[in-house]
Amino acid sequence: MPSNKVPDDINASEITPKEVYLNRREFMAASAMAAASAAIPSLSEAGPHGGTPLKTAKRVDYAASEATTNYENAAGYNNFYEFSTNKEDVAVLSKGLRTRPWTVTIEGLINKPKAYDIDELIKLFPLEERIYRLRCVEGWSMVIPWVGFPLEALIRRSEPKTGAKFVEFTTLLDPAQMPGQRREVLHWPYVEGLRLDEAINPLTILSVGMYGEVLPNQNGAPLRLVVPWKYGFKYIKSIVKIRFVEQMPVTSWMKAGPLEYGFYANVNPEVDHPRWSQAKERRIGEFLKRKTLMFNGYAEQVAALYAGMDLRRFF
Amino acid sequence: MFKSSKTVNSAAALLFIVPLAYLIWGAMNSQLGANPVEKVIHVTGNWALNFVLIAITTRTLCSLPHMRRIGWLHQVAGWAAFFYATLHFLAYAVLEHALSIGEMLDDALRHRRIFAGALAYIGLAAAAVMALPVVSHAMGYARFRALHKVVYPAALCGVVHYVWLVKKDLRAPLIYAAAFAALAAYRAVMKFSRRPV
Repeated sequence: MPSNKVPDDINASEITPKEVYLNRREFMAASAMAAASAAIPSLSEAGPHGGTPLKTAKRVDYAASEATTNYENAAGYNNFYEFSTNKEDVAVLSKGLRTRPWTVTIEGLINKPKAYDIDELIKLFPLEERIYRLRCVEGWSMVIPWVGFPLEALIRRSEPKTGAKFVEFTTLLDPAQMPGQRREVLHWPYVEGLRLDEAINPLTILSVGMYGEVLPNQNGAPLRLVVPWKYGFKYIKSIVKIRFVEQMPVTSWMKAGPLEYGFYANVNPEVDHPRWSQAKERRIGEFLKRKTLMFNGYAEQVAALYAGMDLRRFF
Repeated sequence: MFKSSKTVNSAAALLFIVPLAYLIWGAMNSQLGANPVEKVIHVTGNWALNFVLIAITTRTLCSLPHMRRIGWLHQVAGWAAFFYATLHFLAYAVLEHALSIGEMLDDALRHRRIFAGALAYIGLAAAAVMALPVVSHAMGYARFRALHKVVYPAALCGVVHYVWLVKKDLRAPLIYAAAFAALAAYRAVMKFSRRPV
């Protein structure tokens, strides 16, 4: 297993290019304006999909130019059990979720614990557009242009201590706003986790938007995790807490079905769900199924994280 | 209480086509949501199960006094169940596996959910063949009655197939399970008490 320590040397490829750095000032000014206008909704200028537009410093396509999913489908077909177990009901039921003010607490085995206001957090890092494939454990997939920042940036800022081996994420617990939490379908609040080396992988981002605009509530506003080589249920939504821990967190889905949902949940066409095959997937918008790729097509970036591990055992 | 005329009966019987009409209308007007293939598979499966349970219910009801006139209903429901189960199977075979028999066999042998669904469909298909007039006459009434009861295990397999589909929220499949259990229990009690069922 690779080391869980945050490397203290930075690869040349990770150094922010000058244009991006320069853009950051522009971005800071823009996001300050966006934050100001978000506070006064009548002044905010909505984008083509009705959300506040987000400025991004760069755009990287990690989906080999595959067509992105229609916005209507990406925003209308959502697994978000806090609102409903019916994917087509989530958009309506989540309309009333208040995402401002919103505090994200970073705590645990770190030198710089802090409760961040969401707008403060967003302004700390330049936003990027990342186009990723998304593969749901249920057997369907999408291609989504996310807007967000690398989780690694926040982790470095928080300065993990040597004991920190895992990162645990928690969703808001508020049955008054989240009707799905009034029934114990899952153990609430929703908890997810990553190994520290997975969390600092450059593919891992915290997303605040998609399709160039602020995240719609049903897609996990105001802050969600995106880990494109894992099944969608790892992409925890509406995050309120990020905690650095020594022990592997027990996630909500591990509690719900320990034989069916593991901690890693890496997309793997060779390891079936006990009740269905994972060899193929239906891309939303397509008719016939296509083959599922190992690590959802991101083996080059992440396979080394699992070198020597039995992926049937650590599913 | 049930005044049946042939016209009324035929009109009522045609209602079984409504779910299919909905799917065709939805497909033509892009009203089947983000995942229309999944919707087709789920709607046809749901209605196969609905009609199986309607068939068993009406069959049970028509054994009650003064209810013989609804006997025709369980036949319509039975054929409708087989019709939707066939659409469900075809949708699975074509849209999930592009008609590859090897792939389907592999799926059925490796996943208990698909296996249960396959058993359910084989049971329904056998019941449908027996119900063809030529076959049922050749079998004789007693044998037909005994063997046609294959719809009960088939219905049970269908319910289990549905229970094994859902990830966590079992409410809907458990409603079917409860309905089936109530019907099966009622018929078992009736049989035990030696009243004609």
